[in-house]
Amino acid sequence: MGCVSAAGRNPEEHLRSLNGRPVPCGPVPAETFATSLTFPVFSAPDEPLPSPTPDYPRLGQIAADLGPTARLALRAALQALVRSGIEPADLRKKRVGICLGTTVGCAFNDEDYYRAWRQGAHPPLDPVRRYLRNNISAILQEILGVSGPSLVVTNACASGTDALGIAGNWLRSGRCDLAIAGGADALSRITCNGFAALQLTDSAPCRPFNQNRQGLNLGEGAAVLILENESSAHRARRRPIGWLRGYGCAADAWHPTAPHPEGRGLQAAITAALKDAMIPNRKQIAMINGHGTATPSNDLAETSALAAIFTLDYRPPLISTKSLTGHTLGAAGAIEAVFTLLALQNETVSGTRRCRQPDPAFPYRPLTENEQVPLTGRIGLSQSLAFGGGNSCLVLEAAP
Amino acid sequence: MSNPVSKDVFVAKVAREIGVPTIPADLLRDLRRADLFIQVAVLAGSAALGSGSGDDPCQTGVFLGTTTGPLDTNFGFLDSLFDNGESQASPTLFSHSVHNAAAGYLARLLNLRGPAQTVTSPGWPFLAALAEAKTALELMPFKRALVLAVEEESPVLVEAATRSSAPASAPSPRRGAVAWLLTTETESRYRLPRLNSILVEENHCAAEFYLRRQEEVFQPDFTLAPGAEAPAGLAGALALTQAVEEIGPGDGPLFWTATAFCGRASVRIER
Repeated sequence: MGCVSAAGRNPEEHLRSLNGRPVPCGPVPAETFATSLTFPVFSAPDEPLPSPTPDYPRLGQIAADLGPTARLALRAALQALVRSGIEPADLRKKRVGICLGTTVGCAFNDEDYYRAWRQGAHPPLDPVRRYLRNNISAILQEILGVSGPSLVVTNACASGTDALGIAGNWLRSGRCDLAIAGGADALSRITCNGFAALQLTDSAPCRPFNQNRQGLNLGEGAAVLILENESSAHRARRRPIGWLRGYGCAADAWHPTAPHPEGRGLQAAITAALKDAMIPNRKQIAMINGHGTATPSNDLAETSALAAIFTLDYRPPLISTKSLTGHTLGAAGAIEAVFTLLALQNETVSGTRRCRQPDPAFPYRPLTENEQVPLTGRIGLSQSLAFGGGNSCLVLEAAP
Repeated sequence: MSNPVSKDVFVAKVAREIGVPTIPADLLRDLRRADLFIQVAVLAGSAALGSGSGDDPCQTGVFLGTTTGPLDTNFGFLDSLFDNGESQASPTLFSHSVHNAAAGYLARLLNLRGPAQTVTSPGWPFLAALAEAKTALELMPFKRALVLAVEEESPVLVEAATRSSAPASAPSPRRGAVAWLLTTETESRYRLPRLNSILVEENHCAAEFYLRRQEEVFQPDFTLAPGAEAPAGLAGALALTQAVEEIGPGDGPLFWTATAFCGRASVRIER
């Protein structure tokens, strides 16, 4: 797996952040965009893309024209591929599916172009061409020189979770031999203003699940997992770092932006994912990485759904990692899947940063900042909720 | 993940909504804030669904494909940001500018509580959505899927297309939607066309193709012009829908193909 966000440049740094390393959260960097908004954000450290190599001859030419979301996706994907040990030449012998989630990455947000256009000017068409050619899955497919199904999932904040679940379905149904899946999103002035307009942002670093939480902070990042069938990994003598055991998704059918108050769709998604994973005993779930945006309605709906699924006799530790990354939108579900696998591998989980006093209205108590608990197993849930009422859940298991 | 259970997938109904929609009275209140992208999606979706959502709303999902999403609403949000200033942009336009806003409306207004997926593909998003719906129906615990293509030609891209090279005729912004209802219900076996296979292989191609959508070829028999009021990005979905409607009882399998600079696709359907 590969992962880039404010919490780190790779999975090891993300684990250190999960275990207490400070993560910067502050004003939008001047080089990202100029804004008068004062809401803090989590920006990912920039790094140059790898130089073109004989393995990826198209990298240099294509990378020069990439938008920030595609750059993040590419960094995470190349990192994941290197770590998987799969040689690029071997990759090209397989049917490789590429399934990535995004929101910002598929929006035409070139403000300069649009401002000039609406004033009646005829600005150069380069931004239009860049937008039309910036489908992040198609770009990755071209750079890697692979063929197979290619898809961008645009389910708002659940996109990354759904991209992983869909890729898992591709493998099960035989549509590809190997899948490169995850999500990516860069910070954008448009989304910062959108969430500000919706009054869903906190003027301080976010406090998921805390009693006095005020809302989310936006972030940016990408995470990519390399998925293949167990038999294929076994034949190639590749040791998996974990398993995607189950996937479920369901709609709230409730409201354009607010979740169902009892998390109706999330309950259905978790139930479907557990059934898909063939986990009849919920005590096998060792931890839950929640969506935990720190908005009042999300955190209440999410804990309500979990209280309906996990009865009082067994409630696995619930955390949110958005206090380490901000809300990375289409990347969130993929980054959180990586965090979940890291915590399960580590066999302990730390409570949510800045959650010092959980909201007493919650029917399910999350783990607080100063708590760290050993995990009782190697299987966990990672779940997402989205605008439009989408809900998705992954069941993940870490390898011993 | 559990092992797949073999399920046949049938095409129960198809519908289309092209141009500026006429909203029925019973949907006026629910769609009062909805943009035209959402409106055509809801009207096409409700026409395809008919009374087909069944008793259990969790048994029907929605799969929506689009090339650019609700671009006009996206630009409307930019207008509100430019005109009103930071912190003063329209929250309604922002929440409606996300690509899955239409799927959210469909789920809410038609009470569909199965999976809700929106996929974005510059070439043939309807085929991508159809492929995902088929795979999901085969693997996941629900029975019906409403599959849509929804397209809106923003004036921004239309103007860019006219400048990218001389058009055959000056296009004006168009919008439309195609919707199919798929089902796995076994009683459909003897009366509905079965969706056997879908293969979509898109490749990265020049932006000019996506702007002008020329030289798309659909087989059998015709290169379909989508009609004066239909968006060019909907041509593949309309051509396949027409081909399915033309399958008669006793006809052999339909092997439908699409080829263009953006790749190739094939769909096999049996009566």
